[in-house]
Amino acid sequence: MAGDKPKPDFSNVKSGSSSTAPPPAQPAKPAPKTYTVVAGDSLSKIAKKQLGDANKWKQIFEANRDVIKNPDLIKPGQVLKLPDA
Amino acid sequence: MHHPKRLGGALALGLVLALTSSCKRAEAPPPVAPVPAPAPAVVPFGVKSVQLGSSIGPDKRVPTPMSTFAKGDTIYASVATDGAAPTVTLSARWTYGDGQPVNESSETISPTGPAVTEFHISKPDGWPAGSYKVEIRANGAVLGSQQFTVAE
Repeated sequence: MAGDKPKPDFSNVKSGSSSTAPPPAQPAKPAPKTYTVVAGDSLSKIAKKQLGDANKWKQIFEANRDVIKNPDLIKPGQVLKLPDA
Repeated sequence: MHHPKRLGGALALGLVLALTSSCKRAEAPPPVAPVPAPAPAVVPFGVKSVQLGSSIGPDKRVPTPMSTFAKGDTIYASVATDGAAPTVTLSARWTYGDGQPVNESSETISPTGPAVTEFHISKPDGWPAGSYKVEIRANGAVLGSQQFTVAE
């Protein structure tokens, strides 16, 4: 209607907050799944068995760069971290 | 003729017999179960006060409560609460005039007792003069509010 004052624009209002109370505790991250290499294993065999896809051997290799220097060379007893499926 | 020695011996024997037959070994009283200390009263979570000001201290409280602000002020709402709750989402809903929304922000906390939460708003080009209101909600329920004005 004519003569009506336009409503103010509050789109550029900035806001913030803080509290002396603690924030809710974050749920603990679940420990990563692991697999212990046995004789006859290969990364692709482990990937097929544990992740359902032999082609995911590279993900296992990447997740275990600290223990696997050569993806073709894994030893029984090695404990490998398994990436999320 | 009586024999004092025999009498004394008989007397002593009689005394010993009397003592052992009548004297019962005192029984230890049964152990008394300790009375548990009364559990501390649980204080339900609630808002104790809402104060407005143009600044806050390190304790998140407003040093000088105000109800009229200048156009260039940052406006703080200091909310004092008490009580414990696993999780509470405190929110501040700011409105202008007859309810035009200005801003809303929230803070999720896990209070274990008295606490203070502050909310603040600022506007780079200054506040329009007029009446405002801030409503404080906890998990959606309005627990407090304050009205204020911005001077011309």
